[in-house]
Amino acid sequence: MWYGFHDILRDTAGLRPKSDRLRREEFWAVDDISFELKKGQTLGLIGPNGAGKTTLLKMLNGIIIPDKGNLRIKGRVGALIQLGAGFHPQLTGRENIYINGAILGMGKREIDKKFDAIVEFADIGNFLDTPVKHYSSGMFVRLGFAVAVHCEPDVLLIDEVLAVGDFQFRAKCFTHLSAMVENGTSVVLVSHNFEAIRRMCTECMFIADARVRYLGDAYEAVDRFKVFSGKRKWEQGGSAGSLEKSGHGYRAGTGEAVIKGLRFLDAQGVERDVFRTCDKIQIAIDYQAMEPIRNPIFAVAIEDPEGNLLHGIDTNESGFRTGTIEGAGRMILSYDRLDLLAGEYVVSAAIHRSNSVAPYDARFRQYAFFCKSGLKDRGKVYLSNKWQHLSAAQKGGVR
Amino acid sequence: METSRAEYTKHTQEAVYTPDAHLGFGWRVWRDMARELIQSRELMWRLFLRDLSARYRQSVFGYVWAVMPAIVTVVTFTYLKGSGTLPIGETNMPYPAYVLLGMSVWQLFATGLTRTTQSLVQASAIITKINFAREALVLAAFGESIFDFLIRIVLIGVVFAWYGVVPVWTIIFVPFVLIPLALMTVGFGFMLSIANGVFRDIGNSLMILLTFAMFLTPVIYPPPTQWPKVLINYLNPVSPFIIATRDLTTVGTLSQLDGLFYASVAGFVVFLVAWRIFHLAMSRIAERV
Repeated sequence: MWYGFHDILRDTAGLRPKSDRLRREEFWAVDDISFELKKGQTLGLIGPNGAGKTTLLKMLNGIIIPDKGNLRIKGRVGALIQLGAGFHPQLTGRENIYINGAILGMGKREIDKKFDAIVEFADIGNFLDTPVKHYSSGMFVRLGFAVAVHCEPDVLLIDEVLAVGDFQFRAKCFTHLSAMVENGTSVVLVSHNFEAIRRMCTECMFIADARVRYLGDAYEAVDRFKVFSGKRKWEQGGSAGSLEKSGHGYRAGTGEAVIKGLRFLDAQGVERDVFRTCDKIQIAIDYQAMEPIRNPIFAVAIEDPEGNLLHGIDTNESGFRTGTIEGAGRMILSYDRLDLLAGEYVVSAAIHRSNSVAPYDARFRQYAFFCKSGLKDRGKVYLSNKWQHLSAAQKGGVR
Repeated sequence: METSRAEYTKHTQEAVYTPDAHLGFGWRVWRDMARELIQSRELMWRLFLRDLSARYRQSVFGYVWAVMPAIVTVVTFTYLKGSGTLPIGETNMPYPAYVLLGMSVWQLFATGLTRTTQSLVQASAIITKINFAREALVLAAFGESIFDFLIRIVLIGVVFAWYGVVPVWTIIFVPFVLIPLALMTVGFGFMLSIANGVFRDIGNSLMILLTFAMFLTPVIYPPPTQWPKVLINYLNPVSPFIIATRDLTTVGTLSQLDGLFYASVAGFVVFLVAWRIFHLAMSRIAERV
């Protein structure tokens, strides 16, 4: 609060801050970020919460003036930042179209001309003359979106608003945005929707902690961000390899045998936590048996962060006889080809009695590894594939 | 999409944002400010219409609310004076008309100030998201105060007719007296709206201060003539405008020309300086509002 007071006084006097040093509890929200965006290009902006994405957009929009460095933008800047931000709940949709249009820099004549297109795009039908407070939340954002895109900016800033409306409306939004890009609009898109980033962006910037971590291909940027955010989550207690202490997952068991640790090894037997799709991966379980145990069952499960089981296996079902274990040892499960796409993968491991489900030791969701795909395939699982095309004549022949 | 391409090429100017380009008091900045203001007149009008039509929607009495405070004050003080509770000197026109005229001008200032002070904070949702000339918010807020004033003029006409007060021809000069008052109000409004953006205390304390300030202004009593009370006519920047409005309406000569002159100059200066400060404080306010 006092800093704001101080800054305004200083700006008024036309003084420059004496140094670039920060005052107490201040931080650089965006630091050392450089990029160039040409007409008709789309830049994606991804990063964890608080990385500085929104601050960057606000600077592009001229709402915040940078304390250091400079920015050049040519043309009208439009922002899809908070849809319907200027809407007054008491007023009708018609009135709000004019008000919001004016805030976004359109004149009355311009709005008159586009009015029908806006109404049609928003698809609010008979509710045009109803106060917007009676609108459903879907109608509200649809109207906001419709007004915002119809001001036809040269540079469009989009902050997390493509997740609005129903499926149909989203499709319409994408179609409209693509048309705008084809007409030469440059777009800066902030989104956690990787699908949208990949589909729309020619380039993508991955920001974390106010700095650029990667700028370039959108697929690569998304991959890197997935690995980064997964790792950060797991690293908040220890290293990614040994996550027992990090408060993730839980542990249960009677304790006759314990899992001392679990490691992910590559084809050369080197421990690592980031793999590429189709790499060989070995999951090594280091155990300690307190007494001789006959034919215990070792089990491993790989899940995605949302808890969907991707693969589960145990020695019993595989028909692998473990024999008698005693003292320290290592059980290795190898996957010749890791058919998983980019992301974070959570691993559980357990040692069971042969005739009961009660575990000696079970560590649920306490380990994780990460994948980078370098592929354009979408989803979690890589299924090796090939396209083939048959023309009508060939198809007839095949039949 | 292609129809409007020509239309907005005129907007196609390069914006450069650097840390210090917008600072200081240089001429270039004044030109930019003026252009921005002219470009946003449409927006101002829209915002004004928005607030106006929203304010009196779902209300039975509608625009009557614009004159309610004035009527209540007039009735209260007419009663207090009539009953002898409040020793108020003789006025040169029937007391209710006298108070109403003073109240109307005072309220142009007072409601103008409260509305403008709140205007930025109330619009914080759009200020932090959309870039537009924020001056429009303040000016639209003041526009409401002007609108209320115009409605009160109707009431003044009715009251004058009732008491048979005939205004002198100099009444046509009243608008020229009110222009510097309006500029001063907007100027203070610019300052206070920013201040309120940083310290919310401003908005809260303003109502109390204005109630108090009304009694330091010759609204309900004739301008004092004795030292030290006569200071009220000079040190209070609103007083000269109220005195001049009454003079022009009923007497035809200005009783306090020097005070009016100084106050008018002050009004212009306050407006220009405040506008400049407002303009360059905007980026800081967007960070904190």
